[in-house]
Amino acid sequence: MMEYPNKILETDVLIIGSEAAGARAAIEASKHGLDVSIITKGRMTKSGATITAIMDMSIDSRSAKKLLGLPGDERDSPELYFEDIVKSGAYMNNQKLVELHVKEAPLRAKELQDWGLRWDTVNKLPGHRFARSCMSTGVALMATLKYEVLKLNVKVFEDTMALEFLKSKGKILGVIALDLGTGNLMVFKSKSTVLATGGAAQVYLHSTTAKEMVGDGYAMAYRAGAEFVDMEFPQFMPAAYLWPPIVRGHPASANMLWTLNGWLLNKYGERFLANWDPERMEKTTRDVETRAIWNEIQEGRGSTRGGIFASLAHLPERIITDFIEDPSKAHLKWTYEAADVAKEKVMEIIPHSHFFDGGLRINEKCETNLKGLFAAGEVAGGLNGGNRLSGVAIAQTQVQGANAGKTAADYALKNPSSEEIDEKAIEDMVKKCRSSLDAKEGLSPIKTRVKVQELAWQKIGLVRNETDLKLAISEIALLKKDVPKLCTQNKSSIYNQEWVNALEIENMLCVLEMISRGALMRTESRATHVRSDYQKMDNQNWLKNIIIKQVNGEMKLTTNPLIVTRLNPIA
Amino acid sequence: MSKTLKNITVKISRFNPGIQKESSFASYNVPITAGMSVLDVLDYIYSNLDSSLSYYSSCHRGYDSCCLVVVNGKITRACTTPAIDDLVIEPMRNRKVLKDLVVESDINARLTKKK
Repeated sequence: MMEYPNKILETDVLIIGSEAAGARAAIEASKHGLDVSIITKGRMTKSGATITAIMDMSIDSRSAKKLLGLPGDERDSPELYFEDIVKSGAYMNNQKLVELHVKEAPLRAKELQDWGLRWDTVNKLPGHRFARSCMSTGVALMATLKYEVLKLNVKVFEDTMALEFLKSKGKILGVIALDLGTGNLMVFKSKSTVLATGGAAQVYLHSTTAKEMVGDGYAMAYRAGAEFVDMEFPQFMPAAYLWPPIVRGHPASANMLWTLNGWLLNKYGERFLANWDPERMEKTTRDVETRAIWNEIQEGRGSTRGGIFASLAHLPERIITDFIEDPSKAHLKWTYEAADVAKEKVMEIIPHSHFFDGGLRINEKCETNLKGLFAAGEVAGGLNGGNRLSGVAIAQTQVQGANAGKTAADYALKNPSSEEIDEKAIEDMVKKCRSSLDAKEGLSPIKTRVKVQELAWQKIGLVRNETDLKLAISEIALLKKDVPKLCTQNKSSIYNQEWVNALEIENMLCVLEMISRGALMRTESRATHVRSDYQKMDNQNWLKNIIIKQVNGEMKLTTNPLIVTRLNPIA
Repeated sequence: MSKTLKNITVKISRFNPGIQKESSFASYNVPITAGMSVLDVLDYIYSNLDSSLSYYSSCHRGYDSCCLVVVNGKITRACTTPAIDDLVIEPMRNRKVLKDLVVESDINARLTKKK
């Protein structure tokens, strides 16, 4: 048996999550002469979303030219970038967050350049009126940030899964975490805490993201009483590979489909976008494309494996091989080879869960409603509204990471912690977290996890309706009752993935309940939220945000007026 | 759905520091389909045959190199390496093995070196 707590560690600022947002927060906080620690469920530069970014960081095109020396366009401005973000978000965005974002993103991009990151060029990507996407790679960005983090002697605890916040009188005092390498429980006591755990795209069966991104941060914060905004808006990427398994979830297929003007075909060989947008066909907007693909699959016109075909058969082979051999796409080449695209001239694709627009409700200083808790990056909601524009996610990690780090440092300096840690909470956590490991018989965490992902895909997926959402909510309630019945076959406490899977299930269900309840309440279709029973956007009733919070053990939903500074949705 | 192409024999180096002094090989019989990666094979074993197998994976897209292992004598990423025939899978070389295919991380290796 494990003793508890195996280790109590004290730190001034605790950061949960090691990638772009967490790393940037750590750099900022340690500038204040404080002791800063990062904990991460994975390993730094080897987990999370950042490293999988292709990667573009959007700043206004004028700043791209003037500050970074890239071929930007002087006609652009932070104000125009602001407008594009808010329009893409279908006016759901917290405009105060957007104002700050467009102002500070160029400074953060310049700072990365000063730290040695090379920006290759600036590209114009869909949804942006100008070339704003400063191009590099997620791997290069993380190498740059990791170097700065280690230089500043930030302590990095890898393979350390945060389980629950420690709390007293509404204030966050740190976290209880599990050392995955030993199975020992650790207590991190902090003066302030930054949540930077990213999104939860892996709650769905098909996802482009890293497998550990199931929303542990969201669920922990929810249980501690945090407020959430816009959870009904998860974003999907329409055309990532479904097949073969080696490339499953990789979005390189979408890149080729878009660039080479590929055709989307159903199992009868029909170019079904003709029924949706006969003029633009496959060049239609991302939401129409996603809806059209989903509809074909739902109505039984998908492939045997449940996907859709992205065909290049109308092209000479030379055009396809030329694309594959393009040196600027060298990092994608292996996928086209593995899927044998040059010979087959067709890719099998399906929409994939990709990004969470919603998240913890924060203000410009990255403060949450809980004292001592700050949030940055994808885990925080409000900036992207109902639909994120390309390149905003990476910029968001840097702008909010820096602000959260600064605010958390200020808070730590002003509020030296004196509260005692609740021993009972730790004791309860030991029992709860070991229940699947100590159980003699019960449900398989591996099978249950897939069951949860399938439920999400079928009933809370891309196109929702009242009947399915209500069914999903009752199935989630039943699955919650299964959580204490989980039992791992593997009883080792060292690097036990089955145990991690068991711990993740409660968190996934919490995230899915927020999405389902938000999606059920929003009786309209807007941005990434699509209802087959309410197909129109309803500006009369739905120019507002849905806020979710736990009250007396129940999930409570309320609506709040939009936060508007400059762009009025009615105008 | 996906037709099994054939069955392959997968030998994996196993090591549990609490129990063993040295690593030893375990052998699994895995049905493979066309287009599977070495990581898909590991995932298959974990999900269907032996959940006590420890290995590292995250992005599944060839970016983060966290799944580097030695396959049939060659260092490679498990996620981008096709599984075509029988496999021998060992942990990365020159790193302390923590369990099965999981080795010490860069940051910890750096700290160990400093000491």
